Amino acid sequence: MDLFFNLILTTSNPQGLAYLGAGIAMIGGLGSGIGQGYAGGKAVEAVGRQPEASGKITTTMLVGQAMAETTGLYALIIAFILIFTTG
Amino acid sequence: MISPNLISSLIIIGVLIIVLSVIGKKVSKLDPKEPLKGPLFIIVSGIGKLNDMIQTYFGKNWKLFAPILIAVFIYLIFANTSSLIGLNTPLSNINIAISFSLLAFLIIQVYGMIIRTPKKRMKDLMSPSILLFPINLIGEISTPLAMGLRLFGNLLSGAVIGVIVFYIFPGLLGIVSVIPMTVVVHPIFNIGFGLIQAFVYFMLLTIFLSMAVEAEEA
Repeated sequence: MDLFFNLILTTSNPQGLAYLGAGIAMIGGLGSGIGQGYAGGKAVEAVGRQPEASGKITTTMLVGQAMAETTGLYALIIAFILIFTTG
Repeated sequence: MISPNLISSLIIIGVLIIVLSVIGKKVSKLDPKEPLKGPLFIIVSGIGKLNDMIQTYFGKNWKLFAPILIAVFIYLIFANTSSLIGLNTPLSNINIAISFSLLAFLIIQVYGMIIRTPKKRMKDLMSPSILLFPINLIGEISTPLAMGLRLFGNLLSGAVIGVIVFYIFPGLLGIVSVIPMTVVVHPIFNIGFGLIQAFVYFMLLTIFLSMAVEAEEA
């Protein structure tokens, strides 16, 4: 295993590793996707139960989803930093 | 060197100052007995709806907070959709995004200091117990920072995806590639995300400001 990492570090250039790191950082998008989907599903349930309140439910859902998006956006910013500042 | 984002931001600010002051003059001269017509009706009823929403959060002295909140909202609406008319989106530059989080921080702190005196504000920060003071202090700084970074991340990702699509699709599809650009990229990444993010920034600023201003009214 040690030999494998040594091989990667010596044969590849740091810019490629930075791109790899950007790809790995975007795993953080997984959590925000799950959170947004959960909020959307619950909002659909709420509209089904109480259709006359759909306007308020949609507004609340959008604000909640934007809050859930924050962690994914942090991952995205880190990925952008890795891509654009190396090389 | 001045970045193009800053130039487009200044253009938007200048146009908005002129147009909105003209509209304000027109509205103040209106006769309240006559029914409104056309674009003025849309503007007046829209501002009225926003005022009603702000009133539900702030109670009786909502008139102190409504102007700055609505001004930020109107600027963000036009700034986030400005790439439709060929300007660079101002918020896709991190300096402008961070300045927006500084703006949110200053609005919340200054209004909090004025409405509730500094002594009471300190008491709010130490609210459950004095041990939580550092954590509350971090919360005061990190929420505005998260608001600015959220705007930055959304608009930068929209810009980057737009650029990628504009580079890749013409080679693949030729003249047909106009369709994905006009039907998918601009409505979703410029209009949809831009307006949603403007509304979200406005809502979060309203909520955090109302929390800072009337923390222990009950």
